[in-house]
Amino acid sequence: MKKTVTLGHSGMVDTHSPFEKVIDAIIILFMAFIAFASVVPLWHCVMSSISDGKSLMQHEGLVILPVGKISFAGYKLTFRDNSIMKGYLNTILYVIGNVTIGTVLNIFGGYVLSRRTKLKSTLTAFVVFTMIFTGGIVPLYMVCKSLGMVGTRWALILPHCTNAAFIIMSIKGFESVPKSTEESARIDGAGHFRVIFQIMLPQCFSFFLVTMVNTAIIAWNAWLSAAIYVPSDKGKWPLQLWIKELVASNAEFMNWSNPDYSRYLIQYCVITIATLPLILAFPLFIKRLERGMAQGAEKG
Amino acid sequence: MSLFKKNGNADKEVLKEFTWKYDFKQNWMVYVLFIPVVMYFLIFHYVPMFGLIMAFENFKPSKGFFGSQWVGLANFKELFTGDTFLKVLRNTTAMAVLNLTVGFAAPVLFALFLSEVRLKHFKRSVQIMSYMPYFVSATVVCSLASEFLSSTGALTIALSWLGFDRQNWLANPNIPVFWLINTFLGIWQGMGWGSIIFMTAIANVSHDLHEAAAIDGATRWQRMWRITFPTIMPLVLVMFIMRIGLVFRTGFDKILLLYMPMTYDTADVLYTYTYRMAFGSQINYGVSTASGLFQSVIGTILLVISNKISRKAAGSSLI
Repeated sequence: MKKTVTLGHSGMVDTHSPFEKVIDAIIILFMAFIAFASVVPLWHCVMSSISDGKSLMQHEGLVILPVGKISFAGYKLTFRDNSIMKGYLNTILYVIGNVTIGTVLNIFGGYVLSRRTKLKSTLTAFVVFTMIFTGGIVPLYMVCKSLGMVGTRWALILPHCTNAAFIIMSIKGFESVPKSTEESARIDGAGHFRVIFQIMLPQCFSFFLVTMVNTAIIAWNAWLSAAIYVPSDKGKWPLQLWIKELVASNAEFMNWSNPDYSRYLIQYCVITIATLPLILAFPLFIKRLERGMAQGAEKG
Repeated sequence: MSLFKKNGNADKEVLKEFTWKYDFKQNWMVYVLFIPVVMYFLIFHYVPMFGLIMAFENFKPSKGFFGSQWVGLANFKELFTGDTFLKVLRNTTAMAVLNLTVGFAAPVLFALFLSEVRLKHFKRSVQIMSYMPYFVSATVVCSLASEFLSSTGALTIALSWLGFDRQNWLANPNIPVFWLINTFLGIWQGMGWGSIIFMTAIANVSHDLHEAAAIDGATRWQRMWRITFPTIMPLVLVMFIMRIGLVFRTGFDKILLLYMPMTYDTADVLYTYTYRMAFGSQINYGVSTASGLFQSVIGTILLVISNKISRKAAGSSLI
């Protein structure tokens, strides 16, 4: 990392011509614009959610500061019945389920396929083939239906908890651990589980952090599976499906002559509730995530 | 490097000499650990592949995969001769091409320019802020889009300054509008996150090279295009080829949330068509599976070809 710093200041030879300074300024402005564009839509939502509903409906364009008086009426309305809260809990349940089961499969798959066994290449091909060719959503639905999973929470947990790309990432993770550490542990009499969980995983955890975060994001984002597998059972709906329904019904109802502003407000509140925790949490992991991403790409 | 390679080959030689009996005796526990993984891939990936025979059947859920009437290629005939198919194919291709060109270039250029910024803290802040949209869910992205592009939305107003009429852009059925919206949303969400590996690669470009060039009088711009860019070029190439392989697979989920009957002409893609034929109002499982299979086959062809090129050109590959 130190290198880049000095690199930026290799100005010992650089002549700071006015032309270069202008270009520098343009780049900085452009980068600032990108940062602004990345953040401002969310800011708009947060500020709208604490705005006064009636004035918000008449407001046009960006909401930089709350419109009208600051009020938390929207949040009160959102939590009036517990369906949004239930949706939130459902989403958390699905994320935990996906990540747990997926990570177990990734760990076993990655470990086995990084061992020196005679079936190694066959089994790797077995996994990788699913990356090349897929059955698609309809046959998968039929399979889940025949397993009796349609209408249950399992349909939102099992089918997408891992995939070939995550298994490959896990193989890379285990292969990045020096062979000698593992061998010496084996000589000392450690079994497979001890080798996996106590020796190898702590050394290659960034790889698994990346697969875990990606699995979590997929599960967190999933609304289509819910729309397909539990369409009428609102008690099992994840948060995302609620957002989708709210927005879809709001779009229609905005065309009414005299719409009720509170539904408009609720939309922003739900978006804020659904987005803010993740946005606030991710900087905590960012360094490790970046490292994992970079390592994964290097090894690829 | 060569040392590792030698070891790798030696490993293979040794493995060849193992008997199966010895292998199972040594590794039975390893194989046992793999059983759950095999189960998962069999049930959720391989069995659905067999389910693709639905594309050749007049499928009735009550009769199952094997009881339904076999109709041969009739579903494909219906799919290919329908008047929506050509439009759907055109839209899919257009959005895939936009995704490959503009969508791919964005993170590379962003990384190149951001690494030219010398203010360290500013640079890091921009980088972290640019990751944020990646953590926003697809439903929220799409509701933000419909909010910002509505006739009173912020983007619509900004566009009206540039001389465009104020309108609900998402309901605009003219040709490039929906394609551009979809591409732009993809960039908004993925640019920062996608730039991570390029940023890392740029940070690893040899400092000596830059210094030598600077002493020889190369300007920063010359150095950027003559040193930084060529050094990360192999990585860019690999990422590009990988993206070709995946372009028919991913990135279409948002369309389901954004399109409406008014914009079906320009927004409908194979993926959404497949979905509507299976879960929409007029269900035709056979045609739906046929269209899914068609998309899958094209995706496979692209993936295999791009993988071959990648292996030849850059020595590394996705699979």
